[in-house]
Amino acid sequence: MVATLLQLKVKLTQSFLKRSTLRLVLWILGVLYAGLMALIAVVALAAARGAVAAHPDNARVVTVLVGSLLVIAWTLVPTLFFGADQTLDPARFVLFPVTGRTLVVGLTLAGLVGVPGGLTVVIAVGGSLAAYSAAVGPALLAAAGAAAGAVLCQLCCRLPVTALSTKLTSRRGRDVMSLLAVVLFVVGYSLYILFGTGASEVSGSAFERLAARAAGVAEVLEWTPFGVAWTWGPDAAAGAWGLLAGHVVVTLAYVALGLWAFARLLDRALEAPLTTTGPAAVTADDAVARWSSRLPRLSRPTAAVAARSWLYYRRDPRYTAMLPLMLMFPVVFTIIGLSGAMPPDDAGIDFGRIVVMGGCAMLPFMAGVSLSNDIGSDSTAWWVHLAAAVRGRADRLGRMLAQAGWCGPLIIVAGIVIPTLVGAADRAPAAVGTMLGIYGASLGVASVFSGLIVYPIALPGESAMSMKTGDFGIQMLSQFGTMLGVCVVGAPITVAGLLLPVSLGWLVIVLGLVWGAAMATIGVVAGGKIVDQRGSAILATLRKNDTRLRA
Amino acid sequence: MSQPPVPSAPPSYPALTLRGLTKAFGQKIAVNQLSLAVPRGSLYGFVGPNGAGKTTTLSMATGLLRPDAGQVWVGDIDLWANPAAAKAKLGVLPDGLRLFDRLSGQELLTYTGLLRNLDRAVIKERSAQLLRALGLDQDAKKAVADYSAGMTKKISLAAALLHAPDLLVLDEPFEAIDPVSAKHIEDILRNFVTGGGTVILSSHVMDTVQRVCDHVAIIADGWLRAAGPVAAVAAGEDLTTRFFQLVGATGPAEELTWLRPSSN
Repeated sequence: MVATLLQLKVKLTQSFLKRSTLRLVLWILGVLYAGLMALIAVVALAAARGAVAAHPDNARVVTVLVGSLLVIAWTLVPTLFFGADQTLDPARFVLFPVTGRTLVVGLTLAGLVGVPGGLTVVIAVGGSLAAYSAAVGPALLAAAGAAAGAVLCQLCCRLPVTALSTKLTSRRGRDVMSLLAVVLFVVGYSLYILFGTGASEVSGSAFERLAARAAGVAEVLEWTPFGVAWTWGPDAAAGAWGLLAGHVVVTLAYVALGLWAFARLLDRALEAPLTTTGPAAVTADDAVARWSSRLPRLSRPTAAVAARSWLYYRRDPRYTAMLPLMLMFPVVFTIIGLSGAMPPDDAGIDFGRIVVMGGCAMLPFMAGVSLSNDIGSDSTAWWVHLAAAVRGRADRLGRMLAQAGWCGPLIIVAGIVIPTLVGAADRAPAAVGTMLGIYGASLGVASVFSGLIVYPIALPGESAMSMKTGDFGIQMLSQFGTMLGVCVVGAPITVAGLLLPVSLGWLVIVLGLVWGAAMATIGVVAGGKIVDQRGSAILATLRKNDTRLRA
Repeated sequence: MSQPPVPSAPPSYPALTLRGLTKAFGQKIAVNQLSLAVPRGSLYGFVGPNGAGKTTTLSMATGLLRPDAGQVWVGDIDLWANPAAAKAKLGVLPDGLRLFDRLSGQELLTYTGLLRNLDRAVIKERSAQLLRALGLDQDAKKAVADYSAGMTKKISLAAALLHAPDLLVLDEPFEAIDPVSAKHIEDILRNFVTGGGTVILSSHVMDTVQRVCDHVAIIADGWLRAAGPVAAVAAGEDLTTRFFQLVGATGPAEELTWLRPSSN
């Protein structure tokens, strides 16, 4: 069964790539890029093996932290951003006489067959082998542990996604919220330990204090599913055989527990596959008419698009999931702010404030970028716009306004509250101005990109966590392109916000508003033109991406 | 094209003219050099076996799919040269495409109306009438995602009618429709044609076409096999028999002798 599932995954990916040359080219580029990254990582770690042997304690902390980061990324990134690869969606096996037990190992390993999974295996196993290659025993144990770590990556990825997608949707919003609450707590607490003021602080430079705290975090992580697999090599290198035995047992226990839980979830998915996402209760009146009539100065199509998008943020779980994501940045950085930022070190480097300000910039950045595939989330329902010959401008502007309706206020509040909490209230005007400027820039760039590139995401009614596979390349191209574009277009206002004296904060607000409005307007016009020209091509892509239509 | 005999008479352009429409998907030619004129005021049936190219043709005719070659004229407007003007005259019901299904039926109609720049009061009045006429008034406040296949067809039809188009292009409008609703839809379409409108609808149910339509076009493997008034196409035979002749239907299916309930 394992071999059958792995072959199936390869076949499905092959046939998917054959459908478009662009897909194939991007996929090959992705593989080359991943291969290069892996090669660099392994060579660098092999070169560093002397240092690893010379400083076993530091090496241990770094290994555990980096490994944990990898597993945490596998847990969070698919759930929050991309969704998990659902090529082998459990729901596809419903009509076959199989149980969770027969599928679980194959489905777990199938996750490693693919660009992100393969990259993880190569970097984890190859990297561990290279880093601990000073001695044979530790090298082999490090590699074995890393292999277990790669499996844990898959389990940590599939478990939350499967759990969330098999439950009834009325409850899904709550599930997402509770999961995010846990995540926020973990991330916030780690950042608090790393950057917040502890009791009787070790003196020294910021770097020394950071290193001391990192060791503390690693000590905890090495017994969690995130960190345990990466201790095999360091344990063996240090000759701590008792500790090694403990870590091996705990690792295997986590793998076994994960497989068992995954099998249970698969059984549930196979028993009750038709958990369609029950739509949110529809209001008694005509909410499209009500909300669009509140925008009387806009053309009717623009107001209609704005009203419909606005309602979708509340009614479509794929959009609702965005709210906690947007709130994550302000909340995490507020926690840091409340904990009291780390005071500047002797050299005057203020880590706390740098992190907090970075967090401020992330909010408008992510908010705008999240619009970069908005037509993709309409899926083929977008034909209504095409058939009614809605101007691209109206389409672009309506979507922007709907998001700005709730992200705008959020950004302003965050721009005032966060600097105030870290004791830099005088910087609030500059922060608000910079954030608004970045927001306008990211809206404008996303508006252009969403006309140029439409990639497959969770279809309407599907779990927000499911991702269409194979198009990893196109998705990366769109998202990285958008992010790069925002960095470029948002740079002037960011520089102004950072360099202008505090007393000119109000000027930054004006500059931010003007710059943001200008960039958003350019985005609406340019993006609108692209949508007007590419209308039928966009619908053709949407059709291709609608797996419901695929035989 | 022949000139109209009396220059002052109302324009005699066909409601829809397709000229040499061609579309290939990779190696497969879905629609090949298809030319067709749909006369004003006709109720035109478009029939063919599964995969014949019906949906592809109608998608190209409505501006949803760009043809590789050929032209589409809606009245005297070249659709692919002037899409906004042509689309304003079209009411479209595509097959197999989604709707914004988190909206209620009522909201979907309002949305479509506003996208077509209709006045709010007009939208309100017309959508209420359409919902009643199609028997959806009880479900107007339910999300379209909760609609059955037939109800979804009906709300799509309502959205296609809302702006009172000149020409309705309906892809499989009777699929999944119960007999009572089908009767209502037939009445609405006949009434629309009597009032000067034109309808082209696709179907693979020959009885429906024979009962509802006055003209018919038969397509198979991307080629137009026959087109014209129903009586002319039938050529003295039953339309279904004629259809089998034109699409080259073979004899009975091979018998599957093993297809019996078995113990293993």
